[in-house]
Amino acid sequence: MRLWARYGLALAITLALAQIPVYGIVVGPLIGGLAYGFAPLNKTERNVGLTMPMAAYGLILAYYALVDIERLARYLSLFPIFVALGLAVMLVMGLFGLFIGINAYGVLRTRGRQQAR
Amino acid sequence: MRLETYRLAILIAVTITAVLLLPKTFLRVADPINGPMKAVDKPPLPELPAEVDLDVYGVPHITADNETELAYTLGYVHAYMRMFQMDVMRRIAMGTLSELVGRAGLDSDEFFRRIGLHLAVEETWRTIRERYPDVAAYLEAYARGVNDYIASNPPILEYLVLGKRPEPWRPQDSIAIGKLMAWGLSGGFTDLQLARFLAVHGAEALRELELLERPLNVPIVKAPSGKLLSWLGSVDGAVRQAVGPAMSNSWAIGGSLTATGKPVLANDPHLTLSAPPIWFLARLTVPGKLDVYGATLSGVPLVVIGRNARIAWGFTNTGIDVVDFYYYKWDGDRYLYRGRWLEPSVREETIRVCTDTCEEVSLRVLETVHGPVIERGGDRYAVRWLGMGTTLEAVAFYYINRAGSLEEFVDAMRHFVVPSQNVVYADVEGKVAYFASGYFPLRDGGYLPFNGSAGEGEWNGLAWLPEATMLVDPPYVATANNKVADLGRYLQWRWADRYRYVRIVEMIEGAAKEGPITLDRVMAMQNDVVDVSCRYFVPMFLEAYRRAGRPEDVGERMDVLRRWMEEGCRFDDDSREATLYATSLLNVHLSLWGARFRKANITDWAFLPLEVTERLISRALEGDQIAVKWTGDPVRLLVDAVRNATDVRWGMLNRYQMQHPLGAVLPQLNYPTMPAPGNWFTVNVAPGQLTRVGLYVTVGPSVRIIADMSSGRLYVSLPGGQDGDPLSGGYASMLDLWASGRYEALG
Repeated sequence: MRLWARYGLALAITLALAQIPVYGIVVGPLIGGLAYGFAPLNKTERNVGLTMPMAAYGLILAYYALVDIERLARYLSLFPIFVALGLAVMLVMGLFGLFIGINAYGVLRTRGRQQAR
Repeated sequence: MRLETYRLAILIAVTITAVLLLPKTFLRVADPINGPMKAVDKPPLPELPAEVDLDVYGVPHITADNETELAYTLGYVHAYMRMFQMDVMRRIAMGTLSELVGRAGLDSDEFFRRIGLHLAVEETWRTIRERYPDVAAYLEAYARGVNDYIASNPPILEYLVLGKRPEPWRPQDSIAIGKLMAWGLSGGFTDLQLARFLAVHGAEALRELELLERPLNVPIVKAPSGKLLSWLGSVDGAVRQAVGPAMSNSWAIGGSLTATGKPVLANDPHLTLSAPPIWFLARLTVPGKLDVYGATLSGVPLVVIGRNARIAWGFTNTGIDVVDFYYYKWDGDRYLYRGRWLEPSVREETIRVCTDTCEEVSLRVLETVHGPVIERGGDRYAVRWLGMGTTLEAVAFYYINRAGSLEEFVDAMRHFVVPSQNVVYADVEGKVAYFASGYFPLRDGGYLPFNGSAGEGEWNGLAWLPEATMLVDPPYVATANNKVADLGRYLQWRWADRYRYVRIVEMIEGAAKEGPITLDRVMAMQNDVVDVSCRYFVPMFLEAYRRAGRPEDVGERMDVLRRWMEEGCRFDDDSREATLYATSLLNVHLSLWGARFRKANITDWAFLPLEVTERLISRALEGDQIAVKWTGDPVRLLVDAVRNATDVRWGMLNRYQMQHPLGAVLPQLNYPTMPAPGNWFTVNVAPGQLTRVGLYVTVGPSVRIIADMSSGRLYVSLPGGQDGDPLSGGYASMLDLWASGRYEALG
């Protein structure tokens, strides 16, 4: 799969699953990261994958900015800590997903090779 | 298993553990989609049945074809701007706060459930539905408006933080908020504090400190109308059948003294300063039928203070004593009453305490013939408060909003039971009036707990206060929570020092001597920061200094105080002299009473008014040995107080602290702290509470209102914003206006 398609799919999964009440912020980036990482990746592609959770957060901010930029600005000034927490959770969970995806791909590839032998 | 598989298993295990360890609250506030950030996406106010024009400060001018549409629309607008605040208020009153905020609300819930405010609310609502269908329909339409807003599933910041949703609104909830205000203004435990004070320091303290007489105070009504004998027969039938730290200023100046030739009425109730403010300004119009504007309470569809096209009114608290405590001889849960052992009735209450999940806390409430039993300091007391049972303040305000004359206004006030208020009235015909509103339970005493077992303190009917306190068409009338009147019987023992009242009267009379009183002059009066107590205390400081032999180390400070007094005793926020005086006063007060209050387990450091201290020291300086017994050496007391005072700028010490209900955990929601000009005794009151780092002003003019009866204008300012949504541009829209003593014109 092309990089942009995999990246887009991961973002879409992240944003869709992030709608889940309470655990969305955990499950969304986790599955998104996993989807991105579950494919052969070179080093550059891996680095691009690291930006996926932040891109997802950025898209959410862009939506709110479009809706009401003044209210968003007040929210950011009142609760920067909530924003930082949100970014941190999504980043950590996205990375967990990415690493699980990469490892799962590695395990499956090894098993596939063994079965082929 | 290969290394890669191990690594994968460890990663998954770490991930699952991390997710499970993260608290739900943490995940909720961090979540940009389902958490508080969702509140950014708040839809605008939709089309409503009535026309809503929001002015530049967010004050809605609602014009409806009929009262039902009016109430519905106000309900929707109130909820749109203040849903969380009104929810918190009703929950405090109904004892369900813990459902919203968890264990933090449990003490409050236990108290109000025990008192039974929720039962009084339900009883009041039943009475209104049966006897006042118009009022009931109005409250129901309002509740529909609130509920339609709730049903739109709005993203409200505070609920998103807490992970909760507002429960549907009921007409009872509007009544509950009124009851809560009534308890706040006329309930409380000062009688028990007085009992403890006397138990520790001797019963003779009552006489020696002249606590019941307070001879320095000045009553509002100098010559009562002398209808004491008819009191017992004056109780409104419907109400009698059903009836089971607040300060303020108000005045009304008659047309003979004003520049317009028509009355001017001013009112600024001193209540908790909060974010958002307690009051919500609105103008409510049904063309040809109703046009009323002023301050509503969020959650209540009625103008509480304000005006209509013909009349204006304002309130200050009287402090008249309508709550009693009864102690008994107990045998287990049985109590002795008039020689018989009685079983108290038992009420079981269940309180739901919810954070992410809910638990139930059971409460067993005993009730004697006098009322519910509470525990204070290890002792059990039954509480009897006039507001328990049906009281019809909602009905009173419904009719007040529609009144067109003094007669109609007073008629409406017959429904008003509690809390007793100093009512000032003015109308377009030029009439000005005053009376103390509400009912008074007739009994012997009331300032100390009664021996319930001996049958003391039984209520022998209710007196309607306006009959004994009515003043009609004085040139002016002023109130500042000072004594209502000397009626020859016990009415109250808690009333405010006379200083604000003296200053208001002095300003009105001074202005009248200079010529007709203008609106600008009245506005300046409301923002006045002169403390007249200095005229009584500074001479005593100077006298003590003289008697002490003019000690050098305080000589300069005494000069500063003298000059400052001669210049007028102003508490501007940049004044160092004001701080010198205020901290000298505090030193006197704390030296005299601090240890005595602690010994009596009284935490309210302002339990005894300054007038008591003033009178006591004055007597001690004159050599009165009883006074000296309390003050010790008065010369040393006064000189040391000045010696140990401080003189930083007043605004650095005395600062406004206006908190949001969640402000303790989310201080970003509070209004910014700022210097508070004025002090405990200035008309523009700023009564700092002692803390380790300064004086926190959490009470003050909760709204300022001036009604000009020549023009239909109502000048208003609010200590904060109309919109209670912290993300709204209107969250603190009027704060600067209020702090700088300016006004917006309504009408």
